[in-house]
Amino acid sequence: MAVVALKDVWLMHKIPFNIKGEVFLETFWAVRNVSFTVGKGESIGIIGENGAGKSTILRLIAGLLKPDRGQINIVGSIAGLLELGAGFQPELSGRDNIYLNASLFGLQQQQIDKKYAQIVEFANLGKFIYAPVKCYSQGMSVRLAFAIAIHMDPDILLIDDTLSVGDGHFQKKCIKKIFELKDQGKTLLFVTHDMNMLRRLCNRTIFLREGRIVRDGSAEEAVPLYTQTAGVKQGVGVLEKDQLRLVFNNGKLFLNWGDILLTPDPGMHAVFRVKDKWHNSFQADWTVEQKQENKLVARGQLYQLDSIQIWRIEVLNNYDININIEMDDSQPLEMQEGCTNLTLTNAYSHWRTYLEADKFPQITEADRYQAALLQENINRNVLCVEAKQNYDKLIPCLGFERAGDACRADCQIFNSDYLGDCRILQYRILGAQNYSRDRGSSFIYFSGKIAVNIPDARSYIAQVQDEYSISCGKLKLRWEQGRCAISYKDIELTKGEHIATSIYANNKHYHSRLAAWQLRKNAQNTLVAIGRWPGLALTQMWEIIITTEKSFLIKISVDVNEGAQIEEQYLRFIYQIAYTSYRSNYGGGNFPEKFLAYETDLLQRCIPKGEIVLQSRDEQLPDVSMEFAEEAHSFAKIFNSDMSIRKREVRIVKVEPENGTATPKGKQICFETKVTLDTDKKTCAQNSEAKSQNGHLSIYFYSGRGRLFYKKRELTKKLGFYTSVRSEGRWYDSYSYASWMLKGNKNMIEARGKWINLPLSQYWQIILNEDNSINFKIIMRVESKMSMDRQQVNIMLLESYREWVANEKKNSFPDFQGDIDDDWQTIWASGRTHVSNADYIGVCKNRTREVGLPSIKLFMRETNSDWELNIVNSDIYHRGRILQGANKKEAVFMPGEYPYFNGQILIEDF
Amino acid sequence: MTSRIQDNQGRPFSQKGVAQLNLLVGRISSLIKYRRVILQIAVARIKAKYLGLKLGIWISVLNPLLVMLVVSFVFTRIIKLEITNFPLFALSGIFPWLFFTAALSEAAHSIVSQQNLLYQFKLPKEALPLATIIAEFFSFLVGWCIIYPLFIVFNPQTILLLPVLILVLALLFCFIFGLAIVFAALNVISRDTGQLLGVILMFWFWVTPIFYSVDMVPQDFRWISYLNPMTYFTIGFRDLLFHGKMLSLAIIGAMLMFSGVSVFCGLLISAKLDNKILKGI
Repeated sequence: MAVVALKDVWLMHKIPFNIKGEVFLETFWAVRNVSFTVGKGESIGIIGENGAGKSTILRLIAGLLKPDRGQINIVGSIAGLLELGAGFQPELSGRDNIYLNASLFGLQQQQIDKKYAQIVEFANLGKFIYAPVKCYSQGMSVRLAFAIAIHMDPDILLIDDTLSVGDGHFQKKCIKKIFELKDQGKTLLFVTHDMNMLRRLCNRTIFLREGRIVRDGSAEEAVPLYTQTAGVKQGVGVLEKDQLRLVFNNGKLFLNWGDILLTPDPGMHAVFRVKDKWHNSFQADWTVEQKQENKLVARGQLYQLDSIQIWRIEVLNNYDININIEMDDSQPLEMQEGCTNLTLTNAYSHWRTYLEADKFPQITEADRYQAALLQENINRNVLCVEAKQNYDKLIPCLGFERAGDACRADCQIFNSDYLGDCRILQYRILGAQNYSRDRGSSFIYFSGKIAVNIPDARSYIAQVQDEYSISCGKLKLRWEQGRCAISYKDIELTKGEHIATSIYANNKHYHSRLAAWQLRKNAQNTLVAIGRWPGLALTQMWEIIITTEKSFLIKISVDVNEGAQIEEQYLRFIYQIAYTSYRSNYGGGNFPEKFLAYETDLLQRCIPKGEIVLQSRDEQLPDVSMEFAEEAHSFAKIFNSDMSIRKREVRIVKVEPENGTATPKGKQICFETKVTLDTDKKTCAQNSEAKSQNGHLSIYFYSGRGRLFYKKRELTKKLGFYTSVRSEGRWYDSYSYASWMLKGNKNMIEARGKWINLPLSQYWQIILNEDNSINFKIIMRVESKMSMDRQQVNIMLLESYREWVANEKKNSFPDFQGDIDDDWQTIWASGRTHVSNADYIGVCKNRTREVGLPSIKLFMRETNSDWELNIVNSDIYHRGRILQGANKKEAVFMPGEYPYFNGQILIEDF
Repeated sequence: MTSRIQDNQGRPFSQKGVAQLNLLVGRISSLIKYRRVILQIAVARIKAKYLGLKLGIWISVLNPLLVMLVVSFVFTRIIKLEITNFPLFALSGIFPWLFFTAALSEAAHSIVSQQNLLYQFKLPKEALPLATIIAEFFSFLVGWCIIYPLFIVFNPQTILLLPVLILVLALLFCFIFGLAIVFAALNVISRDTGQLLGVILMFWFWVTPIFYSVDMVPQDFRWISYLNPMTYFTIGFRDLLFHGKMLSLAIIGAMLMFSGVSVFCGLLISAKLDNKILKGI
């Protein structure tokens, strides 16, 4: 049933204009041909710009004005809050005014008495209720006026944009009360400029312009029309292409698809921070120039900043919208943060980047603006949204793309707060140095594209990504901002960082993913990327060349400017964990299935050259081989990452010589690696680990160290059994500076290790005897003339060994001392001259603490007078007892074979 | 639930008289309907008026006393008129006149000064002048409480004429009301009205026999006095208070006629101006 009915209502005002003393009346139609009906219980919002006739219509409905033409029918009582504090007598107290106003609203004395307490409570004025109203602040008057009006229990309540005056708390209270009235079936008409409130409160919206109804419909229909057109007319521009309609309105860009607004207020806009103050594009004064049908240029003068923002918007044939935002500043702006936001309707339910995809969660009242951040600081060039829920209307899939060759930007995807109730896609650039200023006084703020009505997000992203990828047959390399992913037969072999580089310079790591990249696709098979890091005076260039359907070449070079001191450079290949085994020229093995908790699990180190192959049991995954040539100070490592990352990594390391000087200027090639997929050679991996067992005793050897087990219990710890030489003041350990080829059988292990950076190799022979003893013999081979000042054999044993023996001497180990950096502490030394075949050093179990630990003795066989035996406590990091054979004689070795150390380990279990 | 139709479209001409009568009845009945509100506004005005003053209600007492003192001094010491007991003679005329001017000039501004009320509340706009007149009437009555005993002391039989006095007061009230609503309405349309009213009242004061009696007016100009409605009210008050004699029917008739015409025309004019005024505020 209609409780309010307006039929062809017209209202005229005669306005006396007084121009230079000459007065003439001009008639002005405030309301023109307005007809609408309001049913019982409806709540209607009336919106429009100032002077659109909103208040006049409320006054007409309230019966305060009579229409010049047309009819108004009202059923029921009306209370209106049309003029704030209208009924207040300033001299009277709040209390008296409540009585006065309530009676003006038509209440009887007794009724007022009944409601008085509620009104006072709602207005929450405290003792001010007894003070004259003239002493009230504006907020207090509003509260009182609103409290009175809302408690009048009218059938129809009219509110003229008064709610916004009160503070947040009071507004909330009012809205709650209005909802209560709604629930009671009261009819509500209100004028507001607060679109969020409108959306929440009313089920119908009437949009007025110049006294006429432009749209009478749901808030979703009317509000967009209003927000798109309200504003200074010279700052509004419209582009149309079939169903697509773009409205640029004073710094906000709105996208309409048919009659659906895809981007609710504030549409697409720019927000940026200069000198710790936020500015946005819709605060500027805009002028729109539109010379072509599909193109517009808008210039916005940003006051306070004395600079100009220029938007160039162009609609292309396939509903693609090119958007280019440029800033023109005579005095360079220190742009701390620049965001380009695309506000989207909540009809969009899913988002997708080319790696991540998810649903937008429901926005709850509790969510604050940033709390609903879905993706934070990711580096993507294209974001897509899709509406997958069933809507009456078709919401087109939409892509928001950023031109990749500008500077590095973060993407953020998030929900707005509860009131806004929309999705936001954001590109954000942090730091002024990230804007390239090679164009004088202007720079590109944002450059990108919105693609409307793309068929589906996945294929669109794939298509966009194609621009950053090269392929040949089944092989495809995708460039992704400082990373390069390999996929073969549509399966991605790499993960995480894919192929990446990093530079350790000036005591800081610079990762390729954090650099700003310029990309060039030279041919279908060549990709050239040049990256810069803020604060690092060099450029890195990648050249990725696909040579065949199965192989490609990665060349990485740096061009050093002045002042950069590079210490190390890495080229990293990070693979899926589906790769289960590895192989290099120096042996191979299976990746351990378990990842270590907090550290990487180094499997092979110091591979100086040659081919590294990763293989998978999964038939789908092709073998990958990485081939690199030998180069000074360069080697490769193979390792498992830690537990949280879970990936296989091959890392090629280039160490600059430590000469304390800056890296020379100019271009130098750092890495050149050939990657081949799906090699046919099914090589059986040569084990880089070997095992041998005899009785209770077993030894396990891998990459330059041995681990000793007795009755399945390890006696050694951490570094285990290893050798170490010192040349020119620098230590070279068997486990970190050599690569090993091994052979193991039942009771013997043979290992050949070649040192990198030293012309040295060693041959180890380890034999396990029946009588719980181990004979070992180490021969070294010098390739070219070199000097050595120390040679060592170390056996690091469990900390649980608390007593040592040396021949007949026996004592307890002291506590470990000092810092990690402290030298190891020699507890007993035999001295060079006294060592004979029968001399030994050893450790005993501590009888009281550990049961089942055998004592261990180390004998020296075929004594070389230069060698001595030492008992050593390690540092507190390793916490091991060390039995050591050492040769401290400094000597120069000519090429040839030399005996290194011959010894025997005896295990005595009592 | 009430249903009302606001229709400004022209009605058939033949019904115009009836319609006007209906309009009057409607106006008056709506005033009656809003009587509480009117009273409330009046009370609020009174409160506001006296709350704002240091002297409070005493100003209403002081005002007529001062007037009497001044009048007595001027007319007994400076200008010697041959009217016995001139101060009381003058007072019986000036006191109602003071009410008349105060009420009329206040009421003429009542809509302009309280237009907010009409912006928000559905009130018959005559309510505002009416409430103002009531408020002024209250002040008048306060003063009256001081003045009236003087007359009783001077001429005890006056008290017997009190019912007639009340009737005269009521008629004066109606007369003022009729005039006030017209002026109040016109004042919204053109603010000149308020200023003009001051001049008119000044002129009116001197053509009304307050400091003189009608007998003293030369015969040639006496018609002016007879055309002036306030002459009858002044004569009425003076007869009842000063002379202590019953009024002639002619005088009562004249007062009835003038107040009736005033209310009737006032309401009609004000009703005609209704929409113009609502738009104007």
